[in-house]
Amino acid sequence: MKDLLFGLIFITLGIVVIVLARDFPAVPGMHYGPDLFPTLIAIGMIIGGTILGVSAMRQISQTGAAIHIAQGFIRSSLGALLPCVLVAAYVLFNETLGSALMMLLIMLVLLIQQGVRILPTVAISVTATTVISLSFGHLLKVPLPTGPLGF
Amino acid sequence: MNELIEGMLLVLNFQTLLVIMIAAVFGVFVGAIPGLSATMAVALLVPITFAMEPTAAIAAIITTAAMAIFAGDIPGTYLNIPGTPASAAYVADSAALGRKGRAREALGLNVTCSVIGGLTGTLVLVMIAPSLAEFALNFSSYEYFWLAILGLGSAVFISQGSAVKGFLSLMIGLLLATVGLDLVTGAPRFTFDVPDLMGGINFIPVMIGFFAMYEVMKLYAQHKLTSAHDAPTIAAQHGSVFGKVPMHLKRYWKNVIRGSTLGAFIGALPGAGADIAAWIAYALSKKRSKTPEAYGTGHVEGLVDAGSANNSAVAGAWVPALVFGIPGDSITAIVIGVLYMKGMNPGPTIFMDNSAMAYGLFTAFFVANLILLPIGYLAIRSAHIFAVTPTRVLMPIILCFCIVGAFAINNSLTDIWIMLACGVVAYLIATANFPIAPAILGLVLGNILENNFMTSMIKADGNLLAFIERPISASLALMVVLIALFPLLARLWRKRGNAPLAPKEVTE
Repeated sequence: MKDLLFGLIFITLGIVVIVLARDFPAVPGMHYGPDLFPTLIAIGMIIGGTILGVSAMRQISQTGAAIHIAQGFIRSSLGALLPCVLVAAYVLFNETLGSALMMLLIMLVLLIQQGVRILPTVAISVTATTVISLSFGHLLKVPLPTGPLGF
Repeated sequence: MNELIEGMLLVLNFQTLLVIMIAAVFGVFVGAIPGLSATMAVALLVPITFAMEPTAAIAAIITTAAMAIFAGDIPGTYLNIPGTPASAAYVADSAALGRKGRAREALGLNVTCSVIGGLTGTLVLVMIAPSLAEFALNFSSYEYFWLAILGLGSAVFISQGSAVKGFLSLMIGLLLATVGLDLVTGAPRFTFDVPDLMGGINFIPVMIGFFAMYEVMKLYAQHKLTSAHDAPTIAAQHGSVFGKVPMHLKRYWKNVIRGSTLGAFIGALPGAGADIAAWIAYALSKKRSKTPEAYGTGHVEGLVDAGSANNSAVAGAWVPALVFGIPGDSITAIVIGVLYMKGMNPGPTIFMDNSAMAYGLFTAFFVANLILLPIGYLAIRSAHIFAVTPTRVLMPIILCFCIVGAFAINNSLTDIWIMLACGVVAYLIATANFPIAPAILGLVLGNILENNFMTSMIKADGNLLAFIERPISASLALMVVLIALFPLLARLWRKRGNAPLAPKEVTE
């Protein structure tokens, strides 16, 4: 089932790439423009996606079972979304709140979600944030945004 | 001679040696914690190496990789969980030894084999690379095209699992590599008017996303996690670390030599790294052994072969990376990026333009492998620490490292978005059992492949026969064909009854 889905995704992606690549400017007098290589990749994607999809379909028609696995996947993927949301939140708010504060928040949320007790959570988050901020911000001179609190 | 001394001095100074020490400890830590791979260790290290001297940066990467590959055996022996995929081949044996209370003995033997393997791999690198580089000076765009195809082909066909999925994963990498200004005409491709994408996708954020962000996501996708309370119990251990090593080495010295040389050459094959070297060395050892039935039940023979092979592959993988700029595995794929950033452009001329640096690199390899012994000893003595360090505490910290590390490359928030997107893509395709390594190789080799392909096409005016007209390019093309037929040949081989070990999925 998943393979069939991925087969379709790759075929679609291949078609999109071909369409986009057609707009790349050709160089007059040259047979091979910047669209050649992406088009070849897209063709590869379409062929690979087709093989994957067809073999998945053959498997499904043989065994018949397929649909129910999607449920488990969606449930577990919800958990995987949490770190993604936090990363997105970091990008959106680190300039207003400051990088250190955002990191502290991320760690607090993730540790509490995993059921770590409050005291260790706070201790770990504060220590790790301090170490990362100091090592990257001061030692390696990465311009991490400082928030209203100045760190 | 001057360059040799100069190169050695680049490494043998207090600052670089300190960096090597710290990197070694870091490598042990990352390698010994299941779920954190050697590649991830290196990917997380790259942002930190930015501020370092080139030699120190490379030495740090070499040491981390070597240490992490050995340290992967520690949880393998104590908990039956390989710390890195390269330890998976012989985890059944080492875990059985651990259950018998012989973990220290097994690990002591392992660290010794790792050192011997690493040094052998280094010797192979030192001896082969310069002469190969001289030979490679004759290469034209056709040869480089085939070399790139060879690297990508081995990643797809020799890696475990479905070749179609490996191929599609590779296509993702190649597609990512086309983003940015086209190198021939200067036309922007897939940039969607984002200025940060004009220069192409920086591959360090991609790497961090693929190898680190993905692991974090995977942890949170699991339902319930093993808390520190129900951590697996460890059998009581006795015996000294190195006490029985001379005895085993005396008995199996042939295996050490075989494993090390085999590992170095598999590593040198573009696209095949330490984990594949370990699998093949273990299978060969079993086939050649007088007591194949003992394998998997705590027999040290396979351990000797595979344990030396995976570390020598780490060094062997640098041969194509240095000489052609074609990575031997995903670690050297990262390294190539670092080399470019440090102005040490890999390629046949590296031994002429930058010979002091190249000698420095060789020295770093020797030092890194020698330091394995003391640090490895300490790690074995304190192995219980790694067994109780819960990943749920580490993953949030690693996530913050990912964010800051991706940002640090160009000080750009776009790179964090790229890291996030790549983490999501890696998570999605990995849940459908797509291998991730081909995507990385595709990204790294994409530009080399396209440039040489386009140059060749323009030179030959579209005549595809020109690709196989020169003798070297023809033989390289033949090797590509052989590798493409590899799964078929392997199947025939199995049918004849010589069933090699089917690679198992790494349980993390």
